[in-house]
Amino acid sequence: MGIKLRDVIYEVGGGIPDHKSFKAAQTGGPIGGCLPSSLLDLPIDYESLTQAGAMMGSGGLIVMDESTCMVDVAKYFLTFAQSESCGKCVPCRVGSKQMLEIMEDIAAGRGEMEHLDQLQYLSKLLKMGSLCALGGGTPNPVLSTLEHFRHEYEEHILDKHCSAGVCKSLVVAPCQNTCPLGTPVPQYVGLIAKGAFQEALDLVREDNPFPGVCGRVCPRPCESACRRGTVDEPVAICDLKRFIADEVSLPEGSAPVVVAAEDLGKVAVIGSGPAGLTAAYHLAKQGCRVTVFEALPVVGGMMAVGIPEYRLPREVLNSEIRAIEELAVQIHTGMRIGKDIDLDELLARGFRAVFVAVGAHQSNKLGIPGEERQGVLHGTNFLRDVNLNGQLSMAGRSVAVVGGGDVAIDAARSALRLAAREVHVVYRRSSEEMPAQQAEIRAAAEEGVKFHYLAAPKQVLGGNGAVEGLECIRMQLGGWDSSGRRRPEPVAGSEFHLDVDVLIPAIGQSPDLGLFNGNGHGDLVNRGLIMADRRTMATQRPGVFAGGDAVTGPATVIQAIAAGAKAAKSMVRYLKGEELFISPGLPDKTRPPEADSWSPAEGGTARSRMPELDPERRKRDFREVETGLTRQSAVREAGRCLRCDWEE
Amino acid sequence: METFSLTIDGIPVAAQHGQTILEAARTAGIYIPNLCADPDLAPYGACRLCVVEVDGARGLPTACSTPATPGMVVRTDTPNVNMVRRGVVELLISDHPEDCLTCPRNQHCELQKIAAYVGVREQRFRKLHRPPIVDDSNPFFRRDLSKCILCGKCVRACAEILNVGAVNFINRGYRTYIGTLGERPLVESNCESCGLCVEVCPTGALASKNGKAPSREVNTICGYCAVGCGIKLGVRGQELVGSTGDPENEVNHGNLCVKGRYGYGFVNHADRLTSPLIKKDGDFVKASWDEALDLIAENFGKHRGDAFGVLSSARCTNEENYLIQKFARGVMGTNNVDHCARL
Ligand SMILES: Cc1cc2nc3c(=O)[nH]c(=O)nc-3n(C[C@H](O)[C@H](O)[C@H](O)COP(=O)(O)OP(=O)(O)OC[C@H]3O[C@@H](n4cnc5c(N)ncnc54)[C@H](O)[C@@H]3O)c2cc1C
Ligand code: SF4
Ligand code: SF4
Ligand code: SF4
Ligand code: SF4
Repeated sequence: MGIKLRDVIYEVGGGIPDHKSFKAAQTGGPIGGCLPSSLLDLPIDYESLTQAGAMMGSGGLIVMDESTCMVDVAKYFLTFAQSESCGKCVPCRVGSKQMLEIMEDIAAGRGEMEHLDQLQYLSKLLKMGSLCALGGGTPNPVLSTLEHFRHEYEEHILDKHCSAGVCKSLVVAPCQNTCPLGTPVPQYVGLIAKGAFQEALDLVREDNPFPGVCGRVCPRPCESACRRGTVDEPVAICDLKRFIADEVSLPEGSAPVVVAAEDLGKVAVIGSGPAGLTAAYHLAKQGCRVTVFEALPVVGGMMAVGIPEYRLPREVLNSEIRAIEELAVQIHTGMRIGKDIDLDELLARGFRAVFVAVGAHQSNKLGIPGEERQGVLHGTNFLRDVNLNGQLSMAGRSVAVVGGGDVAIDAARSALRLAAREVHVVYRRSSEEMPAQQAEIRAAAEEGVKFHYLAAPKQVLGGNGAVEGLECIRMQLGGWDSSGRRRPEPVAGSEFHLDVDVLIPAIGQSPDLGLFNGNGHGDLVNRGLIMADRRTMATQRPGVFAGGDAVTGPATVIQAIAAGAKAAKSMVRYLKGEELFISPGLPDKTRPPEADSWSPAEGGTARSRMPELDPERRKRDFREVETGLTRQSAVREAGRCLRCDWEE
Repeated sequence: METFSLTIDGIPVAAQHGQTILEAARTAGIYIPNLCADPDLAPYGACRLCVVEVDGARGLPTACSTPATPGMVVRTDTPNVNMVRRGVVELLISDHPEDCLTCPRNQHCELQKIAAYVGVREQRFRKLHRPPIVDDSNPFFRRDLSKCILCGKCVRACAEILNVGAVNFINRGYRTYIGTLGERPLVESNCESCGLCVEVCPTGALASKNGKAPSREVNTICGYCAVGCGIKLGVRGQELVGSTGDPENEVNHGNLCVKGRYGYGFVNHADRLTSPLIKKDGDFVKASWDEALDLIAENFGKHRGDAFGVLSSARCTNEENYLIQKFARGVMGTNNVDHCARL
């Protein structure tokens, strides 16, 4: 009946500013309810809103993006409604106060899971027992956020973490809070500012065995959150990590890793990507005898066979892998679990626990006619060949890459470096929506890659088996989808041809679940991904843990590292017969005396630029494009940090 | 008056027009718990304890404010009703001090009674603490707002029954409390210290300062003035320990003024004269009644006629006043008869 919520937000309101994504909308003011993105198509009328747990009211429409914490929002609205209570009837007067106290506890990290049941009970009591509609409506924000964003409540209670970085007691600093691994950014940046490079690296390496890799390829979520960005530009957190990794050579330069004396027995890790190797690193440190099984002839997963050398030199990766091997971690390459040996057999052979981190290596199909022709090389397969076969050449070929993620850009820039005559990237949405890192897109354009936005492949052309061109169709942006992006729709009659003889589809990957070798593992898989608990990484099968791209679908190196670290923690607990998950403590927010003497560089001090090779020179080979910060600029850059962890 | 019938918990109940469900239930002897209802006060609907289910009605109406209608089907013991009741009691307990044993209202506290009725055995909610606002200024009763459940009975009784309005709600929401205009101590407000609020308060928030409970009650008429309010004097041994209005009495329907309710202290006071005194050589000396009456008779005889005057008291009964004027006119031979209430 009414206009759709989506249309009000996007058409009337102009969408979410600053490229952020939609999270929720509150209608009906403080005693209305929160609607998540899955309800964007809800018509705004009395019945529909009431049914969805919200309200039609004069309180306006409050639209919230990803930087909103739903626990905080519910607490905020509850504070308001609670102060509006007239105080006459008991459920509203005392009940809403009780609810508010609980919400305050949850936001402050003092929450318990049973608090959620109490909130439900009190909400019901207020709804059924209050004298007036204010009391009956007061629980709405809590109820609706509990229904649609329960995971955020659980995150506050169990993980003592507030993703949005809003709930102060749970947040050390915005950067650290945003890092999937919780890297102690302010501390290591502070050490760099003091010139204590090795201490800085040791600190990072406590959790992350791949500082050199991350310092090069991480998509830097921390920097998007960095508070310095509100003054001038974010601190170059990632470049600084690379700097310390380059400055201190492994393993000699770094402090020896302490390995627990205890022997927890044999454990197996399947897959030598960042998830698997990080788990191996931590498991070994805690006294496990770790064997890593890797199907490919090289170690490192996508770090070795995906991400191209010009972004991640192999000596950097390999020295970090060697440092892990130093901990007596055994890595067997050329061993494909499910083919060379079965998962069950591993368990039978005395491995007390297994971590499955097989990544997502199967390229998704475009699903257009002609895709089976020779000359169609799927993105990750192409990059694997580039990495494993030194002889590959694209000399004289004209290449079209389809897709907009990192894999697409890496494939395009690699093709260029293999002497392709022309490289086109075809992407169905607009440039702003491209998921690849902006710096990568810019670098590719500088090197001469041609971008075709708002275009989609329609069919692969050609006679006897080879690719002779690609028919594309122009797209236009239609209605908004639930991710807050406009849906591309083909423009009838707008077909055009690209004169190419190689097509590289790079529109996403899925895990190869061949390791389960058919039957008996249905309980471990859902929709093509391995199912694991997000806190413990435990699967349904006792002793079998899983993490990384195989669980999440294609993600990032740092997410895989975080998964590996988490898995190692709960695997050790499993081996010791302890509870798999124990809530962490609250961050210690006491201010050390040295905090008073910290004075960050004045506002307006420009961020240190990462020097890079000239596009014309660099595009001919796989030399590393970015050359690293100098000592001087690194120390200067570190001095820009505001030390949010010391905020009073 | 015309009566009709409705069903409460399956029992047919006769009711009169104008009665609420609560009143109908009460007449039929069916208990519906409540804390803010009072037969002498207008329905208020705040404590939410008397919620019931009525066939065909939405939600949970309160029995205290919903008129009984012919054929109505009422249920007082359903899962939803019990859920709200239990919740309300648990919430009330959650910010209530736990010192029943030393509380002046112990054993005749409505909150205790209802907690027992609902059967609250565990404390699910966290303990909330309200600031203990104690007003000790009134000589006869004490206010401890940490025990106040904000039923509003005191506010309503003071305004509806007495038309005084000395106390009212201050603030809103959880910060609400009962106080006087300008938040002054009770003695400095327009409170008349009649103690009606203490009488209606269901908890120990308002309690008489006299801590002794009577061992028996004596029905009598208040001796202070000619209104003749019915009072029940509480006696313990030989001591007068309390006084309450007699609700059955047609004159005052249970209400009293400050004198009737609290002015009994003289009875057992140490300074009270219990035998006649005669001044001898400048000092009062204890004497027997015979001695004293002889002395009076002897001296009265010297002052007959208009030199003599009689002042009577409003605290005397009509019969006593009749006798005094008879004595003045017939015995003393004077018309100088008057009475303190005219002064
Ligand atoms: C081209 C490309 C560019 C990328 N760029 C970036 C970037 O710039 N920044 C970033 O953060 N992320 C980037 N990523 C993503 C990142 O590399 C992955 O998210 C990450 O490597 C996932 O780690 P993982 O350990 O889960 O899996 P993987 O790294 O995929 O490792 C899984 C390993 O398991 C092995 N394996 C699979 N099946 C078996 C089996 N049955 N038996 C034994 N071994 C098996 C595989 O051979 C592989 O070595 C990129 C990915 C690609 C493909
Ligand atoms: S200023 Fe420093 S501490 Fe604050 S968010 Fe940025 S890097 Fe982190
Ligand atoms: S008012 Fe009633 S419940 Fe409260 S302490 Fe006194 S006796 Fe106990
Ligand atoms: S003592 Fe009487 S006049 Fe004073 S507040 Fe109570 S009811 Fe009102
Ligand atoms: S003082 Fe007594 S009568 Fe007055 S509101 Fe509080 S509990 Fe009710």
